[in-house]
Amino acid sequence: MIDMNIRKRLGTAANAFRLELCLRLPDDCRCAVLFGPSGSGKTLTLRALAGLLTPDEGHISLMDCTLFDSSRGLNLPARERRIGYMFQDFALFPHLDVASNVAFGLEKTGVFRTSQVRRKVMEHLDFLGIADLAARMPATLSGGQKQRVALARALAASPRLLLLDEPFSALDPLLRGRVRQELRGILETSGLPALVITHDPADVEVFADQLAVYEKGGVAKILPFREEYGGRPAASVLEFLLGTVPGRAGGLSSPTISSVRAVA
Amino acid sequence: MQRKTQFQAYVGRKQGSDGRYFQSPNALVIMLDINPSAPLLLSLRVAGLATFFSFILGVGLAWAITRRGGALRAGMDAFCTLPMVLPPTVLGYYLILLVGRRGLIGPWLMEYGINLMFSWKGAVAAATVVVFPLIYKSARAALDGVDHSLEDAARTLGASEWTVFFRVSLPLAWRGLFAGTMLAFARGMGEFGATLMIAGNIPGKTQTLALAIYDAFQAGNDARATELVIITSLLCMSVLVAAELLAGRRRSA
Repeated sequence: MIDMNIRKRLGTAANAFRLELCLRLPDDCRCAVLFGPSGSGKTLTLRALAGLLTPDEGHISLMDCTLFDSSRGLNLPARERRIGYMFQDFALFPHLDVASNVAFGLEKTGVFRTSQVRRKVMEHLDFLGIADLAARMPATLSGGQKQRVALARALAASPRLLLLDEPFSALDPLLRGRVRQELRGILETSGLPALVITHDPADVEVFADQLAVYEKGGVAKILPFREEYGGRPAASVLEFLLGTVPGRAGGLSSPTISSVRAVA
Repeated sequence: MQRKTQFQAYVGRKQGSDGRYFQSPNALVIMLDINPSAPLLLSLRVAGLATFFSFILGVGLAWAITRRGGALRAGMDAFCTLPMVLPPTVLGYYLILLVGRRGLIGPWLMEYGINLMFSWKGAVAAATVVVFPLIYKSARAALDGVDHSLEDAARTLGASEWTVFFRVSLPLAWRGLFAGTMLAFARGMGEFGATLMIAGNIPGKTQTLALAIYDAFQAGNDARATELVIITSLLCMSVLVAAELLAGRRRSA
């Protein structure tokens, strides 16, 4: 589904570091989780995929469509990539009501007439069960409602892939469990492939068909998570994940890691 | 003829349709005179046009610069702030070097029938340069204050840079831009030095309020100077108060 191999210099001249990212996900992967410590390049991966960050060199392709290739000087702008991005803080337009927020991406899909836009917007709001919020301003919404609006807005632009940057970090911990299951259901219903960034092992269990584990420096290991570890209780998932982080007990000698296919 | 016009401006006389002079009742009537070259109307026109041009230029430049980093950004920031700290006479001098009859682009402008020297258009050019930093600075701050992730979100939703600017950045930065624009307009009303250098002080032609005050004072016509001072002060005050009220209403809305 995704094949990316990029390099990017970051930081100031005095404090520069090079990030090298390789991520290869198989075509049958519906939902992949990017897991790892802060600063390992997870958000950078999503930004590069969405076209919000231009790598120094390398290539990115999505479903046989090349998005970026430095050797050919190709860089598809974000607006033409059709990749939905749900930001950590949801990034709803504060000056537009919910319906206008959702309508923002519709024009690109060829929907222009007011009545048509209105109908489409209501369809998307209905799908997420928030039709009653259409006239509300983002500032008056709760965290869970904002998340649904952000999701509706991203879906309305009919993306080919959805990127979710820590979708639950802005939510009340009590809400997370329920919203997590709902989001998984929505993704399954819409049939949209998704990439989810998380720090929370519980998210890994719910979302990961494939698990990409990031280490400092940004090397991703891809684990076919669902097949081998699906259905395990959270505690063992946590144990498994901690084992993959260098410097922790277990490390790379752990037997569960023997199936790791390092991509570099 | 020149002397006669000057005399008219001093004593507030105006030529009636029958060709005879008559005395206007008070300064306010002169100021609001139908004659488009009366100091107040000229000042309003010059400040208005200068603010308009500076707005387009300043906001456009601020938008182009604001998402860039490094030397270009620092250089542009310094260059665009320069008119704020340079004496207006220096600005006027540079402008003459640029658009004067033997200036860099002056002859080229002349070919198109645009002569900025000693014309009210020159006053607009001078005021544009002087108020530019006010708009640029406030636009930079206002556009910088817009959450980048909102602009990024718009891009991932298929918006062109044009759409991002007009539907996200501009509406969100509006209050700061508006405050800067009003400040620029008020400043444009009071522009003196650069205007004097390039447009001169021709009553009825390039004599703005600020110049008329200086002229009246120099001529010992203190009564008229006082009137013009009061009018200018009231006008600038009301522009700023109106800006404050409008911005305040937006804030509470």
